[in-house]
Amino acid sequence: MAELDPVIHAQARLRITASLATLEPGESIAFPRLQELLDMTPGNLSTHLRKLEDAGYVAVAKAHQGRLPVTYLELTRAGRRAFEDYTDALRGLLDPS
Amino acid sequence: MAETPTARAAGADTPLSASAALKLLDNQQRRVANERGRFVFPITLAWSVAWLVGFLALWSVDGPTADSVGGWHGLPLPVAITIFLVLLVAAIVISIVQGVRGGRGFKGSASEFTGTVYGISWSVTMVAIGILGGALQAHGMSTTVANIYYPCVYTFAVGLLYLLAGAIWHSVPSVVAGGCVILVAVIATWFGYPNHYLVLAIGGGGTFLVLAIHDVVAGRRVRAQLAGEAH
Repeated sequence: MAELDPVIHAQARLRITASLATLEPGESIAFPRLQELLDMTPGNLSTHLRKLEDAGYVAVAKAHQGRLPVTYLELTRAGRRAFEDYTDALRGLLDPS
Repeated sequence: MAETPTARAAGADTPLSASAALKLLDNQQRRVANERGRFVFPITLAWSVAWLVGFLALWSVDGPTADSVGGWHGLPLPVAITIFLVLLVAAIVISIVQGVRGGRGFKGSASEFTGTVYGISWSVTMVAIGILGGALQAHGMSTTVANIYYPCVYTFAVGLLYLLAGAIWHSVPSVVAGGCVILVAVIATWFGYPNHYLVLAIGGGGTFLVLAIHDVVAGRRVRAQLAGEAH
């Protein structure tokens, strides 16, 4: 049986990774906007993002909008590849032919 | 801070089967696509109203006869032009405001170049149509023909730009709407003044109205599906 990446294979992190994977390479999303798309509390989202960041799957960039600091997030190349491998593994499990 | 039940459910690390994971992934990506596309609906609705009411106002100047529309003789020309221009400006403002709102929270898109070039191509096309028309009038195009040229060629260009948008951003409804609008422009030209305005109002405005309704219905369906599957 194919191994499912434990960093991605958890409800919250799967939803985060799936959302970030819809962005084009080089495109990033602001933390509050991602939070809206996921219906998650800031604390919960931060916790899971940190795990993804520690695994090298998510890149975090701080920017400023006027005086307000805004955090922008995107999948790293490794993160995008891990997500593709993960979806391939899922499909492989469902249709082993 | 107290977590909402949705947030708790979303954050829970309960074991996932492969099929549940694939479904969750697919639902989340559909939700993102749906949310990112929501800004388009007010734009399409604004243009459908601008064309339906605006072109109908222009048609009414010389279009209705006492027999055809219950004794109504239509709007005076300055009133019709004012209505048309006000609706046109309103639709342009709504398009710009919604366009900016649609990009809120996202940055550094690799397709920024495509978006910028596409946005500029609207302005270039509209200005070019005006200059071309001016040149044709300078070379003897009559006012009657100019009254047909401007709205029909303008509508044709809008159809073509919608068709292109559909091709660039993989949106079949945009391709279909663009194709319909091109057809409406071509047919309207054959009707001539003043009934071309009526064809543009009903055909062009109608196409955008159908597109707007399609957008809102499709969006609701996705949201309802996602809400149903979440519980």
